Amino acid sequence: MRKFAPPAALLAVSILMGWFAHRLGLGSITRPEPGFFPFWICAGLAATSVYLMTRHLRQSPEDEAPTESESVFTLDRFRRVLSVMAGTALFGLLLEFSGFLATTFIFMAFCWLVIDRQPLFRGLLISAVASAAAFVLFVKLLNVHFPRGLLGF
Amino acid sequence: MGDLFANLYFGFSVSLAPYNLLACFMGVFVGTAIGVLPGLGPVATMSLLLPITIKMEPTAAIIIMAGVFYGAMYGGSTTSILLNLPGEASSVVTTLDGYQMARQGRAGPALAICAWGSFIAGTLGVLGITLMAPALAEMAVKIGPPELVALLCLSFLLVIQFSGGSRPRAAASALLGFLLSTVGLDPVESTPRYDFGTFTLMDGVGFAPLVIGLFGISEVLINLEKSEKMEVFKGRIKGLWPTRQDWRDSAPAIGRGSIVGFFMGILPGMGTIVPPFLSYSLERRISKRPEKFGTGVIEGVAGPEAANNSATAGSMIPLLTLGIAPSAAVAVLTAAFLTHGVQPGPLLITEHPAIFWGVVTSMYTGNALLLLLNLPLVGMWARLLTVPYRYLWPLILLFCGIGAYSVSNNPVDVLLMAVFGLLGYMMRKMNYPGAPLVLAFVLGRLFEEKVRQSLVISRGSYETFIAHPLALLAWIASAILLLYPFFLRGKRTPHFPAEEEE
Repeated sequence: MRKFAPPAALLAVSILMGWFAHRLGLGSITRPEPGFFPFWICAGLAATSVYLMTRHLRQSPEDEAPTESESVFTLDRFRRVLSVMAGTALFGLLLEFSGFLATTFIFMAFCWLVIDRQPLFRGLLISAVASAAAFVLFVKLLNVHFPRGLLGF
Repeated sequence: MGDLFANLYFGFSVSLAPYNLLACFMGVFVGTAIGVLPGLGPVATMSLLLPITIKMEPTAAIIIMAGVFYGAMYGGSTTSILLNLPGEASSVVTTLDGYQMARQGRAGPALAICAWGSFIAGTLGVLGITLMAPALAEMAVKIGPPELVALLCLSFLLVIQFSGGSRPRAAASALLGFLLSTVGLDPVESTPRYDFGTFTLMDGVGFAPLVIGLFGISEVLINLEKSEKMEVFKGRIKGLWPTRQDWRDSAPAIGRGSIVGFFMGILPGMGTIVPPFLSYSLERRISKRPEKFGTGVIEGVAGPEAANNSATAGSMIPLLTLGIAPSAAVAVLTAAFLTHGVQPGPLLITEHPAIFWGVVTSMYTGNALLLLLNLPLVGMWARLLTVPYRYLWPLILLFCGIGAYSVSNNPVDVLLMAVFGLLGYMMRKMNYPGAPLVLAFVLGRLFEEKVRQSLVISRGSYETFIAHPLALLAWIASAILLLYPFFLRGKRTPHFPAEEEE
């Protein structure tokens, strides 16, 4: 079931996107329209997904057992993955609002204190040093443009 | 020949200009550092540098990116030898004999022969580009849309075949990449596709968020699961000059590795992973002492290291002459060219000679700089390995976020990067290779444009795709590639790690 899920998801994606492509118009061989190429890609993806699903269905339960490197959904791993994703999304969402320096500090502190569980003082200190260093490197030296945010930097 | 020397002179006058020389040094320095550090590969690093290099001169930007690519091959061997942990997937084979040499107190000669082998092979590979690329580019100018479609098809099949793991999964990954490349305005009629009413998606999925997510974020997630307990080689590294016997044993292996690596590197899908494996098997097969391989023989280090370095040079040939990226890392280089408004391919030499010859000659300089960086400073690189990963990963994530944001100053790209990071993590967990997805994504629009152009020009006749002998040859090769697994069913086929595997 675990190996069955990815091709099933791909099949769902290919059906949905194939339907959208069909609505865009396929045209003909002599005059292909915008939906032509994506539609046939979706058809290929659907066929590959069905092949993978039937192959996994034929496998014995022993073959299905995940190896250590393959296992995803242990609670601890899943929590960590979600935390990293949440932290990264937070960085994207806060950037325009609170500016580069403050967002970087919040993001670093989130990573070191919440995800990595560093001691409070050490976590805050290295977050402050890292965000100041990132500000100097990217904003001052490399001249990369970031939003200034509410605090003005 | 006179032309060649004149072009080389012109190239060196470009690449040795202080700004470009500094770019070359920065590239190889960063390349070595990320090669040494397990946890961030050249593909992710080059994607991170992509937005930072936007404001640079195109020549300097490409020089720095290329420097990271081949510099990582040098650095990857240091961890293989001192840690028994490959810094890059291309250095997996080096662990077999390199680490054994370190355990026997011969870490110095192992590191030295890696650096010298890499330098010799890298330089020979660049010489190969210098001699072959102009002639191939001249031939490639005559290639029309139908032939390009056939060649691209062959490239995709090669990538699927050799990307490591199951072929159907690699095919699914490539098809997903194709599908992602169709998001945005259609290349012929400019009709919006899959934009769901958003301006961000009307421009298409950004290359930087996709690659940084797939390779950078997913690598952090995978590394966070690994144990931090690494056994770093503690002894003093001495004897950094190989003995005469070491040279006698290694020189033929370096020569063979350089040739194998260069020609395998040209083929799409081979990347820098397969050539070291082939070089190692070749050395073992022709050795007078095959039973000693795996116990610390120097040929087992010299051959593969030479192969992965000359493969980086070989993989530049399809990019510089046809505009086709044969590996994920070269796909990022393609994006760097396109970001600067330069189309890599057959017209690159004539339209942008300063970029072409500047980048090619910078690789000679870069290889020499890498030798200087890797031999005397090996102790410094070894110390870098002692930095705990828990201090590095938040910084890597921050660089990923900055990289994704700064291409188009759009915070939505950071969110997209997070989504692709999760996708990349799941793909790696489920053994779906990421390289076919990236290659299909990069070349997908070109493929679609050429298919539609061919069909329109030929008024829907499929015969146009086989009318040219080159196209016919590419289709025959594609058919063989598609059918031969059915004939090999039941027989053992070698397994190579996927390009982004550590």
